Amino acid sequence: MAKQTFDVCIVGSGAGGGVAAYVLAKAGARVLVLEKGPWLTEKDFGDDELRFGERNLIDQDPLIEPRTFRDRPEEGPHQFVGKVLPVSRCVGGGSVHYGAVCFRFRPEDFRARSTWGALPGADVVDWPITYQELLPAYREVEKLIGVSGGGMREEPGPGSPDPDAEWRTDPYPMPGHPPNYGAKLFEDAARTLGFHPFPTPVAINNGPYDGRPGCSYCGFCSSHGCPINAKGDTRVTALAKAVATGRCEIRPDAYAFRVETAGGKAKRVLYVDGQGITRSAEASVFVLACSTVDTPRLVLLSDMPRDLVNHDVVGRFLQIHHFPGGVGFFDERIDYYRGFWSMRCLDDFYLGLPGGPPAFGFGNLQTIGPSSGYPLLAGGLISTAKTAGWGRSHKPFMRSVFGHFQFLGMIGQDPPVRSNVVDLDPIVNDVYGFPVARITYLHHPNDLVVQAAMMPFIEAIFLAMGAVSSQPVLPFAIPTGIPQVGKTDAHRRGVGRQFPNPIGGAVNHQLGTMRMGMDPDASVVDADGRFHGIPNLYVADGSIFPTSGGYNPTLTIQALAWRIAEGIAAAV
Amino acid sequence: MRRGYTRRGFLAAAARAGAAGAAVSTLPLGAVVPERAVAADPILSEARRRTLDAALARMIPADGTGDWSAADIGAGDYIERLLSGGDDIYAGGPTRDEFEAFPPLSRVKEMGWANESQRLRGVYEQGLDELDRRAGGSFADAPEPIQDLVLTTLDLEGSEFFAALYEHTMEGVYAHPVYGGNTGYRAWEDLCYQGDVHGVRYPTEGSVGAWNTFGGYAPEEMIEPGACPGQGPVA
Repeated sequence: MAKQTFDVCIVGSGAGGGVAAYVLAKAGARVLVLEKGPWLTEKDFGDDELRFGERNLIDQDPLIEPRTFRDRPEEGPHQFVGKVLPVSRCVGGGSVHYGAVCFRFRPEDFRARSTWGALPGADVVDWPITYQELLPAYREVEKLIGVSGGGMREEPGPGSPDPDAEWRTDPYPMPGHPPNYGAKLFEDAARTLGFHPFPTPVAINNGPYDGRPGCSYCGFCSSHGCPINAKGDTRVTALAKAVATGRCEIRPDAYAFRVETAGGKAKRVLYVDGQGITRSAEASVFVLACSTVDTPRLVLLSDMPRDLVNHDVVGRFLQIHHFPGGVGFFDERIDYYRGFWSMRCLDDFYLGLPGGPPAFGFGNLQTIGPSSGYPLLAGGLISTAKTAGWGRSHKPFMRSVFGHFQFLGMIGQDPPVRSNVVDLDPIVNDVYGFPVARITYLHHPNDLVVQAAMMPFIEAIFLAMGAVSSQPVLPFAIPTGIPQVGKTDAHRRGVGRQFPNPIGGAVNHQLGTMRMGMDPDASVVDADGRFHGIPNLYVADGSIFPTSGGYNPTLTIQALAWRIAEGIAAAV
Repeated sequence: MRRGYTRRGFLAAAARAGAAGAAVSTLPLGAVVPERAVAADPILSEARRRTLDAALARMIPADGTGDWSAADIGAGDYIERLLSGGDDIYAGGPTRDEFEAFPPLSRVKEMGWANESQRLRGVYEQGLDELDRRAGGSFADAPEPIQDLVLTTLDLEGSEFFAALYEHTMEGVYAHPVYGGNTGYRAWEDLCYQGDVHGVRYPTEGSVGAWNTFGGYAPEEMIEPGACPGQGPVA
């Protein structure tokens, strides 16, 4: 068999890797994509909480690759082994499970330090690129994956954002979606209170788009693979188009564990294939797009030379959106599992409290669907039911609560803190025999400040929505990607379970760890996503974010990947 | 039916691939695929299954005569299937009529689940015997207050068995019936919950507008509150 040669080898096929593959293949490069998970299709999906939520069909699977967690080094090697910050492990990566909420970051997000100032105990910085520099890529990606937003179909100027509510001016490829009942209550209540709600922009088809059907509002959306391909994950958008060029090969079940360097350049990637055989992939340029947890892990597993890679920063500044939010209880059935993850949102708090000076840590406030995307199982109602008691109290609890509540949650920007780290666990290995990723993460006090500041507003909105009561998400025990050990009895629920986040709800947004910046001493990659010391090695995923913004990050990951890939294409 | 991925088969496959491909080394890196013992006999002895059903009937008890308990709607069958080490872990798709077509597991998933089902079998066997012991011989024959006392004690002790039992009771009751529990969709019916909708709500009508090619919730429907007759308001 003739040896195949590739111009570019991309490790990871998610939001970043998928878009990079498309841009490079379109530009004429021969592209190899290594994906450690399987290549699934909609025939593997279905409206089924068990396969996604409990058995991790696409999620990080602790039976294969556990991760470990501790909230600070003083706790020892780790406090928990299992599911931590899960991201999909399949072709399409995190874009397969995501709620498809697709905001552009704001101009202010790219100059976070200038906008919000310094924060003690954190390293808030400006980005090395501006919104204007990323704008062309945002526009391309929105068309590629199909983003719906702005005015609804029947309104004047469908797809046009409300100038009062949003800073962007150009229209969306598709108009905004109609709301479900809870979102409608939210929209009306927020207007009454003087806020400016608008349809949450999503990469979910509003009617047929690009050969894929319109959304059927089934509710099995966030945390699930879309059974009808109405969600614009990279598998059905960027990767499908990349493969169609004839210049892109995707190798699923290919677990990369080492990037080898020689003579100051990346030479090859070693991976284990689906049969357990170690193989090698060679190319002129390599792009790491394994996500915020796995990209630094791969760099650490590779033990790259210290004169080429800034190990002082690799893995550091891990950011996980804190998620201040609440749950409102209603006499009537909200049945919020109809529709998708977030249908309405508002930006009135984005820069700080309305009327106040800029304050770091706030973000977009959204109606959110079933906890973690699960109406019942996994992080859904049964995780709460346990706190209400099993046995005789179980059925009365379920009958009185199921369908009767609505969540509101804010994508709260958490500060980049140097001691929040991804590194290698010293004890636990995965089934391939390699050390697993260890997450060390402690909330910055600012997260609590923002939660406290937001609760009165959230309560006021719930009251105006007609809720009979509301409470912070805190006691509602939703499992999340931000584990905190020993805070509830969830730690007794066995291997593979997640811990509740004591601050907010379920969010797996993970950013930082391979910080992008101008200064080689303070960052890992430059403004083009290229390692400061290795000219043919790039990163194109959420790990390069210097700060986390107050929006769901996936669109920005994809826009950055687009821009980085264009830079590579120009050089190859 | 399961595929039966044996260690011998794995090594043979590895050798073949190593000979033909550009393998750097044959390396299972400690990744040995265990034999998956799929018992032909019932997974739990008759006595243990009786104990399990008695426990399930207390985890989610019937709310008066005519109502169902977790044991009545197949949670026990769900658990035995989980412990069996079979290949039916992930249902097919994308719609209900394809759910029964469980695709085979990948190699790494097979490794993970082989270990997990074996681990869980041990947890259940010991846990069920512990229930009998603490109930003075037979948990199933003990009065309900004694059963509740035993289960509550295990819960408060942080028992691994109780954690598994709670989790699997809920999965057996609230997961799709294709996995062995939630017989007749009884648990969902109780909550006026539709569950899976694609290919179910409008299976014969075909396209009913752009939103409903496959049968979900129409915009004019989801913008209205839902209803559940007989269900009490929030206290």
